[in-house]
Amino acid sequence: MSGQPRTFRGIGASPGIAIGRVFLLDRGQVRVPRYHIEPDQTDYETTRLSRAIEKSVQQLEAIRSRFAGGGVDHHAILKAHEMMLADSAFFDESAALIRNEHINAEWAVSRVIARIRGLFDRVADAYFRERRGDVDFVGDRILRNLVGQTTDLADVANIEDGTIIVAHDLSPADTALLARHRITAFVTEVGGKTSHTSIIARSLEVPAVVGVHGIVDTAGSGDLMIVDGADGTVVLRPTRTQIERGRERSEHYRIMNLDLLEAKALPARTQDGEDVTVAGNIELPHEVATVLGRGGEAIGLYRTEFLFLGRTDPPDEEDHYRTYCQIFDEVGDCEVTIRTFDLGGDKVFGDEALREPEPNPALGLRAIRYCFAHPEVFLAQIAGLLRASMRGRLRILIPMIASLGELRTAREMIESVEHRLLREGKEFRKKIPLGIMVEVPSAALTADLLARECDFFAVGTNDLMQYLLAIDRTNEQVDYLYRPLHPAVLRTLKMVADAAKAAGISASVCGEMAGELEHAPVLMGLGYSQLSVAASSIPRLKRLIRELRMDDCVTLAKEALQCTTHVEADTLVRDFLRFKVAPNTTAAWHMEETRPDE
Amino acid sequence: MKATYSRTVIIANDLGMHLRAAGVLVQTAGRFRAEVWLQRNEMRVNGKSIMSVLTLAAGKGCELVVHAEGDDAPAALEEICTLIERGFERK
Repeated sequence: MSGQPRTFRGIGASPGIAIGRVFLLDRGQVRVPRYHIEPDQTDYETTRLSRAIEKSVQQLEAIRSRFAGGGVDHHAILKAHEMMLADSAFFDESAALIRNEHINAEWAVSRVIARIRGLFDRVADAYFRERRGDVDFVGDRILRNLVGQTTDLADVANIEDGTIIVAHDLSPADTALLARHRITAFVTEVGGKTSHTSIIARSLEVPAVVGVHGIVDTAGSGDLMIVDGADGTVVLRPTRTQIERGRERSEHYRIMNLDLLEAKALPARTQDGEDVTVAGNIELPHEVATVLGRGGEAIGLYRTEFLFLGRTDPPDEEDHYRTYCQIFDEVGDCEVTIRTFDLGGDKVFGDEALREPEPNPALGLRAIRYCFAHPEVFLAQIAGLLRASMRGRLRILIPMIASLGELRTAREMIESVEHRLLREGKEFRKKIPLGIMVEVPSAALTADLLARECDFFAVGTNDLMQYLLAIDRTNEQVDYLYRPLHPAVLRTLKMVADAAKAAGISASVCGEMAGELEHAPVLMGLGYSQLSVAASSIPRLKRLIRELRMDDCVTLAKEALQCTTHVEADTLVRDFLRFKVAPNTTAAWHMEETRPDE
Repeated sequence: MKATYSRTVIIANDLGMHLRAAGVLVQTAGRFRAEVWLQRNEMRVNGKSIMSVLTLAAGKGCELVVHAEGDDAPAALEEICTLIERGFERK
């Protein structure tokens, strides 16, 4: 190991102390070729430019669709970047330069970017000034596509857990790709407290220091580093004493946080003594720690799609087994509900992707339907699940069930795997609870029949509302029709809860509606005993539940069911919150909601 | 001669017209045939261009004049002003 220890000072952007090894993400600056073109070449240059823009938009779209985690806001940022790319004012200005000054597309783009950047430089407000970073990311992507350089982190797959990422700057697209790894800290050359790296680091609860000048040229991959995200210092190649001291401070920081943890550890019990299970939704195994750290009492929904994405062939039994074991090893005694994969139609892996896209993927061959069409893929997942069940409290959840026949077929397939494992002498737990996602209206309408043959219901409100209200939520023209308190939604939720109760099985809500805190009291009043939400919502949901009385919630649900329009129901719920919940509790929600990009 | 409709609005939400908010505004403006302009002091930008809208750097309390010109200008003006006044929440 060579190199002297060096201390750098930057801006502490996300608190915490990390010690780890550097992974240097250095794509270097794009070399911008500048030359004049012949007047008859202008059409060719503008076409090159529009192709590069088109390609950039497609790349971001692909990253956005692969990146399901990190919350709606991260999606919104990537979407905003797509809009910046497609901004016709930007294209027109560049095209005008090409036409009038006869310069090549790269030169034109870099001049327009520089001009827009200059506008931001003069802005006094720090948040808006930081947006020049967004302009840079967008410009950089176009330029790289123009010169034919790869733009995204191809080597990101080799990043090991516990790594400290050092980079010039990280774009939202970079962080979307990095979120799949367990990163210990982020250090960047540029950026401020509101740059994307900072925002993402805080939401991942990982220390970050930004604005560290010269770090990219000095650090090398594999170097040891201490990052203090509170005071903004970075020690490169620390001495043994410095490491010792870093460990002590890290421990101190951990103890400071214990106070917070204690508050989160209180049970989600209403004032009149009713317990609600507050669980977390996850997409990646390492998110377990975040859910538990926030006070989650179970993993209410583990979406296994990530296991299937970004690979050419489906995961085999061992891949499944290892991943689920990893989860059980982390959760200890908590119950884990694992949903078999909900893929198909638009996002299948391998050769399937080459097929014609379905005209209507939401209504197409997906989830359990895909499993019936490709049983080997499903059976491998089931085998992995059954074997991992020895390690903890597993519940298996089947998505998109639309009829009793499908539930029976799924159960038979599971039984066939049990027989095989028995023959092979592999251990698994008997009588693992088997539940269904209630998200298709036909399942909701026959909930009484389904309840007799499964062990639990999990209501996916997003898909349920999509099918029930006939709205495509990715279509902003009809997004306003998303009405969780529409009488049809409330009646359906009641029907499902009542069917579960009559059959003596449990019912949970794991869709977005559970995380929209204002709707939690209604859901509780309807009889949903488990709410599964994003980790970030857990502390606020627990605090809310602890202020409520269950009998009030039951009354509220009854009254909401009497409302003839969603407007009435919205008003009812708003008034309920105003009278029954401390203003501080609800105020905290709004603060979170209006924060920009977190 | 097409009439121009204008209204003055104040940015209501704490973070002003941040990235996501600008995205929503531009998407909304894009749904109308009318031309949409946003003006802050002397600076006037195309309401259908996200880069331009961001350069307004419109923080909380900032006064903006929204102009709309074209067939559906009144509807465009109404929807955009409501969006800004509600702090860029869709509902």
